[in-house]
Amino acid sequence: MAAKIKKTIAIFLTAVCLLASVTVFAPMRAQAAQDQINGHSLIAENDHYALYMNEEYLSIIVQDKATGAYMESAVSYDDNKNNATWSAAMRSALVLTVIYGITDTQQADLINDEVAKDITYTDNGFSAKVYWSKYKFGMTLEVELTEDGVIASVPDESIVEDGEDYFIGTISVYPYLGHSYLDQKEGYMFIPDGNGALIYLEDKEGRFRSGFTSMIYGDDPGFARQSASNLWQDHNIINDANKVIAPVFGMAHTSEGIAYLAVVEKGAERASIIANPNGANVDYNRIYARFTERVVFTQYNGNNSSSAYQTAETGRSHSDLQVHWIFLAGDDANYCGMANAYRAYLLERGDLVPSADNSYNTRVDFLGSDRESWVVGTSAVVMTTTDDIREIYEDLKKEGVTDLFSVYKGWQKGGIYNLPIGSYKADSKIGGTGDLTSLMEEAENAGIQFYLYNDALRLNPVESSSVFNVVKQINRRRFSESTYKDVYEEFLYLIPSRTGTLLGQFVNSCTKKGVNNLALAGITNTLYSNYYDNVFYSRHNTAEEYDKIFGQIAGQTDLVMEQPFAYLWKYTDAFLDMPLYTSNYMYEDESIPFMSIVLKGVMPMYSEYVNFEANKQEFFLKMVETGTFPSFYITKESSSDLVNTNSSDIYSSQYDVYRDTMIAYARELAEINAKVEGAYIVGHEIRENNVTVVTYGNGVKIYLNYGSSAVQTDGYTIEGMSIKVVE
Amino acid sequence: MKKISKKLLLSLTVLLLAAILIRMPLEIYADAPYKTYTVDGYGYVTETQTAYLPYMTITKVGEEALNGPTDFTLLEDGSMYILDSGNRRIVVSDLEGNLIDTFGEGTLVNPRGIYVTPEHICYVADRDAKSIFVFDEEGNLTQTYGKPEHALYGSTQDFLPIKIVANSAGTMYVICESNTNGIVQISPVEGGTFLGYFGTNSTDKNLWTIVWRALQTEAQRARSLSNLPSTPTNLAIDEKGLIYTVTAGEERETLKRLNIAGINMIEPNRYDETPAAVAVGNHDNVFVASTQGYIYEYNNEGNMLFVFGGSDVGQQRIGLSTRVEAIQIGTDDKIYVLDSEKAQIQIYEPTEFTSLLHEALFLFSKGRYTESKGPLSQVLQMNNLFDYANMAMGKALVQEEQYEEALHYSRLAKDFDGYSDAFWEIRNQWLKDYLVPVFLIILAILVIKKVLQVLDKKKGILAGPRAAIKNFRDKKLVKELGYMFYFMKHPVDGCYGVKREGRVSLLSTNIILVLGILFYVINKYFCGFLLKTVREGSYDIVSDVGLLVIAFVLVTGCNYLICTINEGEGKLKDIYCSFVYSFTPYVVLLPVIFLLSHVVTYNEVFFVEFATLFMYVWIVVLVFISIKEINDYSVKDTFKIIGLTLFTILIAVLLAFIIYVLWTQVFEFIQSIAGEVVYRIGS
Repeated sequence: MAAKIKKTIAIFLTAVCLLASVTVFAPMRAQAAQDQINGHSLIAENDHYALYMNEEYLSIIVQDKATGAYMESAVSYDDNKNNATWSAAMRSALVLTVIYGITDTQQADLINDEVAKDITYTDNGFSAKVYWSKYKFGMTLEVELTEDGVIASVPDESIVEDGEDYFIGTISVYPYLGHSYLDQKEGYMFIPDGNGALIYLEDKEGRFRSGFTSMIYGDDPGFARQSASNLWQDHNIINDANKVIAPVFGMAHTSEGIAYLAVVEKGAERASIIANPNGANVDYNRIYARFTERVVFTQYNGNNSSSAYQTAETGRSHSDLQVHWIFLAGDDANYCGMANAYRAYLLERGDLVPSADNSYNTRVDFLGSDRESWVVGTSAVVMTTTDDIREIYEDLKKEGVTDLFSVYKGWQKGGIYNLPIGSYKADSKIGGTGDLTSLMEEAENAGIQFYLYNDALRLNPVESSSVFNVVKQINRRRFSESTYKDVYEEFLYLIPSRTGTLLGQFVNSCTKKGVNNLALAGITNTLYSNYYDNVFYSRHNTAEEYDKIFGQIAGQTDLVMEQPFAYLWKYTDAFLDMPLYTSNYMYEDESIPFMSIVLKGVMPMYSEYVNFEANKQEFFLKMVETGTFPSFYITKESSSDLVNTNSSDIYSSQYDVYRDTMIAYARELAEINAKVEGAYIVGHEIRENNVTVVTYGNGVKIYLNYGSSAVQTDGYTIEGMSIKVVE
Repeated sequence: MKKISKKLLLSLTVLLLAAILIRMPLEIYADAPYKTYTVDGYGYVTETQTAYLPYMTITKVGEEALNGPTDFTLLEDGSMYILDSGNRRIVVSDLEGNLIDTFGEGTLVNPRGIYVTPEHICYVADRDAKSIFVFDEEGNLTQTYGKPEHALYGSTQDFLPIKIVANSAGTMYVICESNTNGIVQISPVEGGTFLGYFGTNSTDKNLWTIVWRALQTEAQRARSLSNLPSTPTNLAIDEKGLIYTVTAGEERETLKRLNIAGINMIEPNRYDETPAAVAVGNHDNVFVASTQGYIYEYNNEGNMLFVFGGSDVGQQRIGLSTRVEAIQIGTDDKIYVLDSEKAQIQIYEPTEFTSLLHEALFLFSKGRYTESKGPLSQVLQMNNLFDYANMAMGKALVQEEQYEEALHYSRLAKDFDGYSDAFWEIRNQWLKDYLVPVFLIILAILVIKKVLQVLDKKKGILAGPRAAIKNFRDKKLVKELGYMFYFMKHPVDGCYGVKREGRVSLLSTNIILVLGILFYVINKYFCGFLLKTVREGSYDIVSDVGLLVIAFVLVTGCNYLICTINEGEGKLKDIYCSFVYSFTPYVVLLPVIFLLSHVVTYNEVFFVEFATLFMYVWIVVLVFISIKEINDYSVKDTFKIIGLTLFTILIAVLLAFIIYVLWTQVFEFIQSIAGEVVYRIGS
C-alpha cells in the first residue's frame, strides 16, 4: 500500500517537474546568447561559463554555456513577503554584520546603506572597492571567472576600518548564489555534516525556524562557553555534533542539470557554513560561507569571579577570504559529482597525496594501560601488554587474518592519560621500551602496520608538573576540557609552539630507536584561538603553526591521523575514525558518503570502533557502502577492569569477546575490498526500496539492501540487510 | 513572461503541495544524538550502548497536520489514536502515519487525555468541558460523564479531567487538575458512579514540617501548600489492571505502581523530577518520559536500565524533544513519544543490544534462569559493565549451583544479597571440605604446645626465648604501649597512671594514634565486600586522614581550653594521651572485626555490627572517665564540660568557615582588580 503511494507520488512528481522544466526553463535557454539576464550584463566568458554582473548590487549570475542553465546570487523572483533588510540580504554581493558597542546584529549591505563603489573590470571578472560611509569601513571584492567556475575573494589588506564606533563582525560573500524558492527547483543542498548530508529543495512548510550553522573545523574552544544541558546536573547526555572536517558545501539544481561545489579556499579557519532551507526566516533555500572577523564575548572580572561584562574583540582576525564555486553540469551535477570534483581539486593542488597502500586491513587498536585512584595517587590498570599483543597477532594469524593495522594507545609511561608525551618511553608494566621496540619490528616483518598513539593536544594537569603554555580563551581564562570522569577531571590544551617542541622531541627519540610509525590525535581535529603573553592568536595562526609542525614531522616519520581536518590530509597515510553518519539534524533529508567518496581509493579510511555500535549489522553495511575498513578497540583483560579509570566509557573491548567478529569481518570485507582496491567511487545512488548502489571506477557495483526483506533490483535479488557485489 | 511563470509557479506550488501532503514520514539511518546511561549497583551512572535509535518521525497523519497534540494511545493492532487537542478532535492513524479516521469535532472543547481499549472504545478527558466523553469504535459519542454527584467527591471540588485510563470492567481512573485527593475512580454503572479516590500521594513529612505545623494555627495549617499532596501528572494501566502513575515535582515516589488496594509496589532507584508520562512495556518493564525528553526504562523492580534522549534547545537534531506529553510502547518494543511543541510523534527503535536484554529480562522474570543465560552472556559480551545483566547472571548461576562464578558476577553487579547467598554456599562447602583438617591442625598445635611445655619444665629449652621476651617487654616504649591494655580495663587507675606516674609518653601515644588511623583506613577500604561502605576501587586517603587528625586536634584543643578555665587539673599532654588511650578498644577490636567481616554473610552480619557497637560504647565510656579523672571533675561537671567542649567546637568550626569565606572574598577581590588592571593595560 505504502509502496504504491510512493510510486504514485514519484510518477506524479516527475510529471510535475517535467512540466515545470519545459514551461519555465524553456524560455531561459533562448536567453543564453543574450547580453542580459535578469538585470545582469555579461562581463566575462570562457569556453564553459559566462559571468553576468549587476553593478548596483555587484550580484552575479554564472551560466553554463552548454546548457544555458544558470545560478543567480540575487533573488529575481520576489515573493514580496520580506522586509527591507531581508530583501537587501537576498540581493547584495556582500552581507555584513556590524558590531556597534556590544550589539552585533545590525546588517550592512550594498543596497540599504550608502556605499561608495569603485568597479574595475578585469579580463575574467571585476574588482570592486566598496566603502560604507556611515560605518567608515570598506573592502575590495574581487570576482574571477575560471575554467571550472568562479572565485570571489576579499583580500585581507583591502579591509579597512576607519571609524571608532562601527566594526565588521562577519562577512558573507554571495550568500544567495544558487538559491531557490520553496520547491521551485528540484535538487538539494549538500552540507559537510559528518560524512555528508543533503537538504532537499522541497517545500518545508515552515517546519524549520533555522538551518545548519556550523563552524568549519568545529567550534572554537578559545571562545566556546561550556554550557551543556546535563542529565542530573553532571552527566553529559547529548553527543556533540560532528565537526565540519572539510571547508566545502554544495548546491545542485538537478532538474536543470547544474550544480556547484563550493570550497572555502582562504579564511576557512574562522568561517561557518550556513545552509538554510525555506521557512528559516525567508522562503528561499540558500547555502553559503560566513567569515567571522570579530565577535562579542563575555569578559569575566577574575578567574573565579562570576561578575562579567560584554565586550567585542579589539582586533579583527587577519586572513584573505576566498570562496571557489566549482560548477558541475549534466551527469556530474549531483553530490557524487561534487565529491569527485573535490577529490580532483585536492589532488591537483597537492592538498591530497594518494597513499601508497590502499589495500584492506582490519584495524585492531590496543589499550595498554590506564590509571585508577589508589591509596596514594594512582595505580596502573594494565589492559594489554606487548606479549598480549604478540599472542593476539599469533592467534589471528592462525585464523588467516594477517592484514592488520594497529594503533597502540596507552603505551606510554603512566598510561594513556599521562599527557603530553615528551619522549619515547613505554610503561614498564606493558613490557617496557625495549620490548615495545622489538614488537614493532616483529610487526613490521609480519606486514602489520603498527602505530604509536599520541594525543599531542592535551595536557593532564594532575600528572604534568608544568601547566604553563596552555590555551587561554579570549577572556584570558584557562581553557579546560571536562572529562566527566573521576581520576582526571579535566584536561588542558597545549599551545601550538609547545606541541611543536614536545612532538619534535618525541619524534626524535622515536626515530633514534628506529620507531617510525605515529598515530596522531587531538591536534588533528581541534583548532582554537588562543591568548598568550597578551597576544591574541586566531585560528588562522594555529592552523599555520600546525601545518608547519606536520610538515616537519611528516618528513621524519609515517603519520596516520585521527579524523584529520582537510588542511592536514596531505600529511596522513590513513584516515582514522571516519564518521559514517551525520549529526541527525531534523532538516537533513539524506545521509550521503561524501567524504568517503572523496577519499576512497586515495587513502585507506578506518571506521570508528565497532565495539560501541549497538546495531552491528547495519554498521557493517555502512562500512561497505562508504568503503571504510573496520576498527576494533581491543584489550586482553576484561573491560570491567576499567570501571574506575578515565576509560570507563570503554564498556566492551576484551579480545575473547571480539575474536570471532574480527575474523568474520576480516574475511568478508577483505574479499569485497579486493575487488575495488585503488578504485575511486564514481557513482552513488540511493533507491526507493532501501537499496543503495555504489559504483566504482573499475566497473564494480555494490548493492546494499538496508531493508529487512529481500529486494529485486537490476535483475539481482539482494537479501535483507545484505550486500551483493557485481563485477 | 514573468507574469506567466508566476501564475504557473503558483499553480505548480499548489499541485506540489498537494503531492507532498501525502508524503512519507521521514526515515533516516543514523547515529543517535544522545548518549545512553545505565545505573550500576552503587547507583553510579555509567554509559552504555545506545539502547534506542531514532527510527521515524510522524509529523503529519495523512494530510492532517497536528496542532498541539497532548496525548495518544497505541493499540496492539497498530492503530494509533492521537488527541489533536489544538484542533479539538481525535486523529486515528496507522504506525506509518497514514490516516484512518478522525472524529470528535464539535464535541471536544479542550481535551487533554485519551485512552482507548483494545476493543476501540475511546475515552477522552476534556478539561474545559468538565466531562469524560466515550466514543464507540465508529467514533460515535455514546456516553458523557460529568462531575460525580457524590458527597465523598466533595461538593466544592471542581471536575477538571486531564488524564484517563479504564480497566477491562469499564471502571475509569481519572486524574483531575487541582484535585489533590487522588485519582478519581468512576464506575460506568448508572451513568457514572463515583467509587472513591485512589492512589493518593502522601505529603512530604519530616521533622521540620511536623514541628512547624505544631506551631501553626488551624487557619494557617489549612492554607499551607505543603499540606496538600501533589496531583499525579499522568497514568497508565497494564494488562493485569495495575495502575502506574507519575507525579511531577516530588522528591520520591515519582513513579508508582499501584495494586488494587492503591498500595505502591515499585521503588525506582533513579527518577526524574518532571515526569510527563508513563507506559508499560512488553517485558514487565516500565517507561517514563520526562517533559524535557529524557526517556527512562525500568525493570519491574524499579531498577533503571536505561536513560536516553534529551532536550532540543535549538540543535534541531532528530531524537531530541522539546516538550514531551505522552509515551507509548509498540508490540515490537518501539517507543513512541508525543512532542506537543513539535507536534510530532518520534519513534525510537530498540537496538540489537536492547532486544537481547529484553529477551533476557523476559526469561528471567519467568524464572527460566538457565535459558536467560544465553542472551545475558551476549549482553555482557557487548557490555560487561552492565550491572543489571551481571546481577541476573549471578542469580542464574546461583540457581545452577555455580557459586564461584556467581560470586564474581554478584560482586561486579554490587548485588549484596546475591553475593551473600553465593558466599554462604561457598563457605559452607569450604567448611565441609576443611573442617576435619582444620580440627586436626588445631589439635596438632595444642599437642606440640603441651609437649614444648613439658620439655621446658624438664630441660628449660624455652629459657632463651623467654628471657628475650622479658627483655623486650621491659623496654620503656613497649611498657608504655602495653599500658593501653591496662588502661582499657582500668580507666580510673589508668588515668592516674597517665597523670601522675608518667606511664605513657608522647611517643607511645602517637604510635597508638597512627595505628588507629591506619586501622581505620585499612578497614574502610579492605574490609569484607558485604560491609564495605565505599565504592570498590575508589580511595580518598588524604581527606580520610586529614579529617581524623583535624577532628582529634579540635576535640583535644577545645577540651583543653574549656578545662583550663573550669579548674581542670589536666595538662594538655595528659588530656591528649588519655584521649588517645581511650581509643585503645578501637585498635584492639578493629582487627578482629576486620577479619570477621571477611567471613560473614548477611546471616551473621549481626556479630560484626554488635562488636562494632560494643567497641564504640567502650570508647565513649573511656573518654568520659578520662575527662573526669584527668581533671578531677564530678560526674555532673564532666557532662557540663563535654557540653561546653562541643559548643566550643561548633564555634571554632564556624569561625574557620567565616574566615575562609572572608578570605576567598578578599582573594577574589584582589584577583579581579589585578585582572582588570592587566586587562586595561593590555588593551
